[in-house]
Amino acid sequence: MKRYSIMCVDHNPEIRARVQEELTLFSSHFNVVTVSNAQEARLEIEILKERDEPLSSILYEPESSENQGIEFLIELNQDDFTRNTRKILFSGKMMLSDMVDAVNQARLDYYIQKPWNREGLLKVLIDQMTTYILSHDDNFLSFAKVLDQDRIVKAHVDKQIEKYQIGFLDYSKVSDEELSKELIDALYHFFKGNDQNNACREYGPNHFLTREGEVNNLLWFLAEGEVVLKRKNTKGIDQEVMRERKGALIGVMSFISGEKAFVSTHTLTDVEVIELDHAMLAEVMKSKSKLLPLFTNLLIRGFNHRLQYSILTETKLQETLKSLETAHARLIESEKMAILGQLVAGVAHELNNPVAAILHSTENLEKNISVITGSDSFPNIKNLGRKILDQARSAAPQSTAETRIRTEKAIKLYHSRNTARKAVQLNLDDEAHFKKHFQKFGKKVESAVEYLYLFYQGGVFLRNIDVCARRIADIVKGLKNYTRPDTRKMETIDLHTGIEDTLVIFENKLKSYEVIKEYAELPLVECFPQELQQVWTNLIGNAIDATGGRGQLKIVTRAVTKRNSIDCVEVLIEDDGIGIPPDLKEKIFELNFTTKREGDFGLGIGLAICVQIINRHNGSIKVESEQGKYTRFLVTIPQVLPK
Amino acid sequence: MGLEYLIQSMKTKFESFNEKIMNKLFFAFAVPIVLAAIPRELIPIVNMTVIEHRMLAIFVMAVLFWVLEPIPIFATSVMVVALQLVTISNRGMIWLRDNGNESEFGELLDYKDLLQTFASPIIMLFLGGFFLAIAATKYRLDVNLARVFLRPFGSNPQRVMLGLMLITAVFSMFMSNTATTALMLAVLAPVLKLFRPDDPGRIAFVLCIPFAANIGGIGTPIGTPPNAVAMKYLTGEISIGFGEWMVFGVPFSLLLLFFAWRLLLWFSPPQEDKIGLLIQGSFLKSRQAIIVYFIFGSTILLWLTEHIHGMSSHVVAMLPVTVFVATRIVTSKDLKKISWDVLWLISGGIALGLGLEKTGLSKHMIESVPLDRFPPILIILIATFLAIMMSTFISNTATANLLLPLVAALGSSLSSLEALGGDKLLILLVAFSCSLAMGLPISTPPNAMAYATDMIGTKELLKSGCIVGGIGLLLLYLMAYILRQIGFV
Amino acid sequence: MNEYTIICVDDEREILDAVQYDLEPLASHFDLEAAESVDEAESVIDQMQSENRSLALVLCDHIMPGRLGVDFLIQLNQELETKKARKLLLTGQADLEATIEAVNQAGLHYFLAKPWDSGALLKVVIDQLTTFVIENVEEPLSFVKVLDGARIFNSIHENEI
Repeated sequence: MKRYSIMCVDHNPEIRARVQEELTLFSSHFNVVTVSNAQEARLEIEILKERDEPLSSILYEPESSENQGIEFLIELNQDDFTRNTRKILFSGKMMLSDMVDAVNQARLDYYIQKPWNREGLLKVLIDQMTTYILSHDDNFLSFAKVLDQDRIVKAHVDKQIEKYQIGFLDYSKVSDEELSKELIDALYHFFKGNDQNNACREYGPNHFLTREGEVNNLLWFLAEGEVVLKRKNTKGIDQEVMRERKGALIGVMSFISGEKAFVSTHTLTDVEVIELDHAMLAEVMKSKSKLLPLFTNLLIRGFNHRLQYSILTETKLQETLKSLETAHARLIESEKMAILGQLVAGVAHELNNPVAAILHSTENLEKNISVITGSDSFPNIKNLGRKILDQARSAAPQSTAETRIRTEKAIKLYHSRNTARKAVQLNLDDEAHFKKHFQKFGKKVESAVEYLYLFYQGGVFLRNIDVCARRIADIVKGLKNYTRPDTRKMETIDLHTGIEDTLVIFENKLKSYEVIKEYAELPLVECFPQELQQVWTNLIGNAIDATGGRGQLKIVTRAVTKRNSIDCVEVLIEDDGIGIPPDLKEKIFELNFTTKREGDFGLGIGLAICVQIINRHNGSIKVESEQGKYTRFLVTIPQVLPK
Repeated sequence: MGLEYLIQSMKTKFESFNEKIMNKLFFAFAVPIVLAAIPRELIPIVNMTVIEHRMLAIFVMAVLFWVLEPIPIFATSVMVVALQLVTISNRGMIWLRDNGNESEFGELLDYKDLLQTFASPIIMLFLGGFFLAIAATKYRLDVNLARVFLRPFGSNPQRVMLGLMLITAVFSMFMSNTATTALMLAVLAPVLKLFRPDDPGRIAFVLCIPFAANIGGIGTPIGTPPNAVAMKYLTGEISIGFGEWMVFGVPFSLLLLFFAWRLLLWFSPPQEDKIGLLIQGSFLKSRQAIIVYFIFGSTILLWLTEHIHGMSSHVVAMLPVTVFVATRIVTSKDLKKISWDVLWLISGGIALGLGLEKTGLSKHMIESVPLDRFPPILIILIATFLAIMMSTFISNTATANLLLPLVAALGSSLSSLEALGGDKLLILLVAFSCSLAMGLPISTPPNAMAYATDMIGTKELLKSGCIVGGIGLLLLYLMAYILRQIGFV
Repeated sequence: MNEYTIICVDDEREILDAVQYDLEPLASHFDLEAAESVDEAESVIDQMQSENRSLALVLCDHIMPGRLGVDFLIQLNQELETKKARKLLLTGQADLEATIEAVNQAGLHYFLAKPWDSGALLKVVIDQLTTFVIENVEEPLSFVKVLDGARIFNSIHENEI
């Protein structure tokens, strides 16, 4: 062990003796030298140089009279042998200018003011010397006994770590291939002629190394060939995760963590591997510690690759997810458009009737008006005619059945069925009216009735135009809700409005149905009205498809309070159609499930979309069905949309 | 109120519906029954036997039924035959056959004679005509002939009208007037629509068809049922052949047709400059069609040439019947189209005439009226006028059925008529007169059809129809004069 | 009082009114009856039959509450009294299947699509009624006025010899 020295320069012999005495505890490792002045000190340092006992610290009392004290310290700082010596001033009082020079030019390390106490001095010296030793002797650990133990141990650990770090960093410039090649070569070298456990092996293709879900106690170094890593997906089908080639470590995760294998690995080609179990690996590492950092490095790199790969995968997944979401949104949109297209076709039919009625009414009205205005054959009853026109325009028409019954009666008065029917429609069929208005015309009764009938028809046609135009307006309004670009605006509405709008759109198809509506008084519901309308459209459309054109459609609404005291609204849509086979009940809500045929509503993804829409409303959709009897969808939507 | 009201209204409707018919039926039955119940002595007919008494009741009943028409006129015919068979035939009810005194009872009719009226030669002649018509229609000979014959008449409305009338007249000489009118109106209907509603020419065109059909029917013995009925009485010495009839019938028709044409144009001149009658089609050239053409031509030729080959028209009539049936040109299905009602109407008339003649009733009835005192020309005038009047209101055939037996008896018993042509002329004149009635829609089926188009009113029909009928009568007298002059009668 | 009846069936009053107006020219020869449902039309037919009036033509919508038009036509086609009636659909909604059914089983005579043309409707109805009259009426002459005269005359010509 190398010896170091420590020096005290003081003109006072008492002080020198006391320091000598106080520093004896260092004597096991340090040569303690005391001198009276700088001149002596210079000589002593020359001796120390020869003996190769580097001066670790110097306690120096500057000579106040000569103003040479600081000069000496500066001198020390310029000599290689003493440059790193810890320089401690040991003085009663100091001039500030000297102090500044000492710090700036002599790199003063510490200042101990006289009078001093032992502990203080020792503490300072230990500290300074520890600093010196740590930076000048690699073997600093041996000074732990006399110097600052904590610092030395810590420095030791740091040094060790640094050493490891240096060791790893050594490989940082080496490529993966080289690294693994070095390790594998080293392993082959290790096992050469020493392979009692048959670590170096060869396998043909399709040999399983690890099996997913099974415990794995082996680690393979792939020296040659290619393997594939597979994992079962949710449907139990093997999906390729990745491929590994020459240089890869196989089975690392399960081998190290002891968990069950995450993937199955099997060979694709003829492979050469080094197969190790825990004991063998320990043995290898123990006997060739050089391989440990290599192995560790390779391991870390392997993990790193995995991590990078998985991050990459994650990113890709997210991108895919995003594009899937876009595609999904598009799908929903196209489903909406498909339904819209079919609705438009239906509505076009639906519009036929009112449009036809309006066209005919205007056309007939034209003819009537020209006849009425052109004819003056019955001036006396023109006023009556006007009254009849107003009446026909404002009042709902007689039912055809009533007209018929009254016509039978009136035939006696009017003789011709045709005339009688017209008189009935004019509401002038009874005997009193006949006597009042018609009897005077004698044989011209028929023409008089015909004349008044023109007014009646005029009123009817005006009324029909009005009724039909309103109906068209209703239908158009119903359609608007589909065509309006989705504003995604939350509104607070009565659900019946949306259901009724949907029924208007389907009115045409539902004509041959018995539509039973059991509407309860519903609270207003916070929702996305258009989305819900898409739900109603789907459910009602499905009901129509399931019943094949005729049957019964039941719509029940009610307000309920759920167990968790959330106020909800329930909408039940039931048909008496073919029902759903029990094995399909779960599948109907899946995106890729459809029983749709051509001509049915939508693309067949309607229910999947319904589920999503209802989920967004924090609601639920349930289906009950008995084959050949009924299908019942129950939609529950909370009254208040959770934020 | 529903059910009760329903029943009530049904009741009243049913009643009002049946009231008139029931009244008529009651009247038509009651009068002859009362007549039959009245003792013979109270009836002002001299020497009337029991059989005659019954026949008289039947005759009166026939008159009432044909005039009032409570049942279809052909049904009346059948009823007449049936009643005769039951009451005055030798196979009738046993209690009605004899009451001991033969001179007072009279002579029963042979039931065979009565039943044979359903297949009398004249019926067969008519049947031959029907077969020709069926085949001609089936193989579109009529339409094609109309198309070809119309072509020369161009597009001048007056000439087109003349063409239509000529074709209609010629066709109705061999086909029923009804079928001919229907055919020609069908051809004309699309053209009528093209006329302006205020164009009087429409009326002229609509009227020309039935007039031509009525007039054309006079031309041949099978042209119209009254002719056939007349043929029944023109037997023995006064018999007339098919061709003979046409010799005076056709000129008469054509002449009257010409007058009718001018008259219609005068009353309702068409304002259109041009009229385009479009008849589609072409002559069929199948083997069967050619047979039809051939048989059609040869039958008519044989009818016209009776004097050469000696076959009577009734016999010749069997030629188309036989050939068409044999060649499946007329199938059993087509047979159903034959207007059996027309044939039975004629049969009934013949049976009625037979009864009147054989029982001697017609003779006794004529004798009971002091006709000798009237100048024969007046008798002719009255007879023809009566015929035309009656047939204006009732069926021409029924008129002929009722009048001709009496006229035949009159002609043969009234010696003063001999100078004017005797019964032969009188029968012809009355038969012709029956066809001259065309003043009302109900006068003839062709009139009814024209009226159904709703393009003519009763007024127009009455005016033109009466005048044409009047001219017809005048022409008839002229013809009688000429026929007498050339010694035909 | 007319012997023959035309029934129009449509659940929409406005359509019935318009059709009735269009068919008015036939009112002199045919009773025009309107029914707002198949059931009503049936009761009309029952009453008609009890009064010895027969159905000449039915003009029917297809999609109606209660029973469908085509089913009604099929039923009419199966009953002796109404088999002869001309059967017309006036609809904007019958699908191919229903139409085929109507043709095959109901002996559908004509299919009119909504919206229709008044003139065309009347023409079709006249044409169909003419056929009906020619096939079923003993004395079709009285219909010459309102129907297709040429066809009626032709039928007389061809059938009454």
